[in-house]
Amino acid sequence: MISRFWHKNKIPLLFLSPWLIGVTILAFIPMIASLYLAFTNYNMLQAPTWVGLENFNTMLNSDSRFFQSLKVTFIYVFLGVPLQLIVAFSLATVLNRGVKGLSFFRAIYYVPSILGPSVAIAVLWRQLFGMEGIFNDFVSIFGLEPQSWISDPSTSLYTLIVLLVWQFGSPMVIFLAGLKQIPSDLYEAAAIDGAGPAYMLFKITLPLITPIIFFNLVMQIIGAFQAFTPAYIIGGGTGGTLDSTLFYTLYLYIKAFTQFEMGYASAMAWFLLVIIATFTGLLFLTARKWVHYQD
Amino acid sequence: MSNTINQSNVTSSSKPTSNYSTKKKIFESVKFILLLLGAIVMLYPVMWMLSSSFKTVDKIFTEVGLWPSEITFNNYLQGWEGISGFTFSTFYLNSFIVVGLSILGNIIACSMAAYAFARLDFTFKKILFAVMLASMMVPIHVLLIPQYILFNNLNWINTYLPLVVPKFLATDAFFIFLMVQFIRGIPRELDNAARVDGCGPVQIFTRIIFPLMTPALVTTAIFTFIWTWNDFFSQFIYLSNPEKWTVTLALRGFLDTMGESMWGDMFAMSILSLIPIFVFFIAFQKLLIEGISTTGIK
Amino acid sequence: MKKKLLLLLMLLVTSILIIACNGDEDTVGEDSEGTDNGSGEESNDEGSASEEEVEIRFAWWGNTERDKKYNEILDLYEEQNPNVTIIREPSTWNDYWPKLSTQVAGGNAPDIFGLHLLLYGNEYFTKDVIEPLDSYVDQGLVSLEGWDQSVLDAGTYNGDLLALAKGVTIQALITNKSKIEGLGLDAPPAEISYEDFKDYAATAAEALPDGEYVTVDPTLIGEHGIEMWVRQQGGSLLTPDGSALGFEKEHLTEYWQYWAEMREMGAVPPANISAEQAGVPEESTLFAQGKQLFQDRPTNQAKMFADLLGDAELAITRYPVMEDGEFRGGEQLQVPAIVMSQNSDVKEEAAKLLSFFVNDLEATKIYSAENGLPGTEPVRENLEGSLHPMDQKAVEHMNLVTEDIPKTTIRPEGAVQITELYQSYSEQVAFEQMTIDEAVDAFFEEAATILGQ
Repeated sequence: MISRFWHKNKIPLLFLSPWLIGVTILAFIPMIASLYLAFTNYNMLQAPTWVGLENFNTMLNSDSRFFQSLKVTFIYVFLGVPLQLIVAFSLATVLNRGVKGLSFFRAIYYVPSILGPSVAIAVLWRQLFGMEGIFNDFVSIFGLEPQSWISDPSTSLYTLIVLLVWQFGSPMVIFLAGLKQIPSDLYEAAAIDGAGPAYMLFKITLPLITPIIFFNLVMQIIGAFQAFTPAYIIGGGTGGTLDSTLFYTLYLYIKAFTQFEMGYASAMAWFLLVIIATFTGLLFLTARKWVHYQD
Repeated sequence: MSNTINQSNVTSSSKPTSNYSTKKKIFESVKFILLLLGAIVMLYPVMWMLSSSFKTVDKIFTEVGLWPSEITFNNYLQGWEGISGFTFSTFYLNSFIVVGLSILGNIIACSMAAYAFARLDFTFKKILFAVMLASMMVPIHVLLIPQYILFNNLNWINTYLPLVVPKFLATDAFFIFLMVQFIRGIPRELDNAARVDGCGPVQIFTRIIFPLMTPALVTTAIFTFIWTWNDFFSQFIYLSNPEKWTVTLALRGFLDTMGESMWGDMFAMSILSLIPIFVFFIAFQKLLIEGISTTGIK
Repeated sequence: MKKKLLLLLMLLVTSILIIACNGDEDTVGEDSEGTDNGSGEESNDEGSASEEEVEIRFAWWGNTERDKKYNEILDLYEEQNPNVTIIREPSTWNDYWPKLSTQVAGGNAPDIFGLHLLLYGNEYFTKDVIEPLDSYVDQGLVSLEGWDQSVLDAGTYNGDLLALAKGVTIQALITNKSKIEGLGLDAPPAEISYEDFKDYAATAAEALPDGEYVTVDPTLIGEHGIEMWVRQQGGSLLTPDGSALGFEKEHLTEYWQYWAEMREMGAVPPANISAEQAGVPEESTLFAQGKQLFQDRPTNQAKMFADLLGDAELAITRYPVMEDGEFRGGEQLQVPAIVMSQNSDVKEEAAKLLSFFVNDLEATKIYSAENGLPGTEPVRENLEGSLHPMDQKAVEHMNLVTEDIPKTTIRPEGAVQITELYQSYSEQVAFEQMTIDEAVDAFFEEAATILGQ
């Protein structure tokens, strides 16, 4: 029995061993620890005390900021991620071939993503979308009144969505890499058969790139649900005016490190895990219908 | 490649060729101009940073225009002096150590795990795959303390090991999943052909899969470079002494919400800190773009 | 071809890194040795403590300029005590706090670290994290000679002295005197009542052009304003045991009304501009740009604004007083302090360094009121004449204020949640999402739930 297990799994285990060690020690054990902490009152400076379901109870019944953070995060994920992916995919196909100065453009379009969530970007975003910012010069063309887009509670979240979409470089690069993996003879053969660009896009490119679209979708959703740095850096560590940019993970961070409630933060983390896992699971279920693998 | 498209359009089009090609030329020019406009939007922030880096501090927040009315190189000279007696030479070296080791770790460890998930059959495969995905779904902030305790017991605090060793243990599941998707895009016939030639799983990995997933590996290298370079949270938690600081930590050190910040120095050094990432991207994107079609699938 | 190039590149990177990595591992070795030395030290401590090699970890928050001062002081100490090596751990304010709590949780707190008593004092005081200093005072390792009792009190919890002030500062209105005179007005007297201040603001707002304002809207920059307001009336933000709010609904209603009127008359900016101001760097605040007459800040920041405003003459005006209140002023002493970790392996050496930092005349001269005015008379005397003119004014201001304020209190646990809740309802009022009465009721209700737990 054991030897059969060993015989079957020897080679895979060899390949998996670094990951298995890593995931056990650095992810699984800390996750179990945080699951335990989710049922405790833990301020990090003293030993945790068991409180049962109290954290979850407070979270779901009497914490209005918790629901605000959920709302903000859902808007960010379901508006920002599709927009970002559409932009990334369109530019990847355009920048894949047939334009003069391709590598120049590719590099330029990747610049925003290189900047990352740095302090410089935080200052810049405030300059762009502040009262005195150039975005106001732009909208005044359309006769709109100048306002502080970044601090007005009804618009501040959208400035962060713009930031997300603007930093579309990472999914774009992944799309580009995926496009490159499509064997060029497929296009050549189609061309000989007299196929047009639309045919090539819908019958060759899109089906063959579905694993990559799927990957980008899953990863961007997982990432956006946990978005932290843009709001943390641009909002100066707060949730912005009227908590309008209080991302879920930012609130979790505030709970843990500003309010010293790591137990509550752990409970939030596990709640988030369930949400993300649900959406990811749904995506995997639908994937059977539209994702085509070569194997 | 553009030839192919050309051909296909020509053959599918019933209109006279000359008319078509003028139209196509207009279309191409419009596309080019749009891309150029887009490029300006993309570059504006860098231009702004660049201009700020040459302004005196009092002008950074008062002058709106991109062209500094008075140019100073002082920000660069003073900024390079760094923090607490350590210059940016130290910080760059430190960043390169962390980034270089992280890239190496991610490429080796993630590709191994990805190969197993994509091509090999083993017990609990689906569950382990789900575990891998789940490991990405918990915010790092709640995993921090258990990890910190572990690293503290290993006496690794204030070294690069807590930042680098996890990469060799494939904890960036993002890249495993990325590589899995790419490997699954490689036709299985290639594996089978190799197997017929007497290759075992290890040889198939090293001789077929690893070379053929170059685009994914390059993507991994680029992303690891940028993300590790810019990551500040784990860096400020684990690196305490300025002599160990990376460029990103030093940049944060210039700013202080409770007092006067060194804005000029920060912008100047931010501009310099973009150069390595940009150079790395340019150098590697060639590999990314040439990818599979020239590395010899045929 | 490309494959080979990639391989070559990777080989290159690898070889560089192996070299770099080896260097790195050497340092790891050193580090662990260092820690061993430290723990070895403790057992040998009994006899001659001073000659053993000691490593002391010292953490602080601040910008690069402040780092220079710390390094200079710590270098000086190392020079005078060749057996001591001080490991420096600077951070920015934002990074400092999460890092510190992680270090404490991980059992790896620095031997000496900074603590802002008003904001974080109680979170750390109540949890057996900080070493009481009393026994070191008795041993003569820490000197309390000439210290103000009020400053020592601020660092005392349950009868134990836990923290010594690096400086003391007080919230005030930093005043752009030149700008006021430019409007043809007189600067207000050093003390002004809330009612007079409102009249003054009305006149000033008339004289100011569009886009310029009299002062900051304090309801949108934190809890200092409301805290002073209720302290002036004999209340407090929270009761000392943290079980309830320390003030009544009327207090809050009147306070929000006062500032709503100031908003209406254009003396403070409209809500969205105030909100934007709360997040911008000091350099681009309206005040630093010369577009505002008063700035609501601790007095130790006055010198920074003096630098930013160049030629303008600045003054320090006291936060408005309440002549008919229980106390004329409600200011809290804000005390950035220095403390020792209970887990330290080198407590006696750390105690000496701590005492040196706050008492040594040379060291404090280097530090020079960086975090506010020193809490000890000999140090203050020694600094006289060398202080920044704005710090000189801060001294006068402090003397004026400390006459008639209630005792400085440390906020109990749970205070952060309440201050954040307060901030959120203040925004609701300022953005007119809620009427003042609605917001007051909602705030009291939600606060009761939080505190009741």
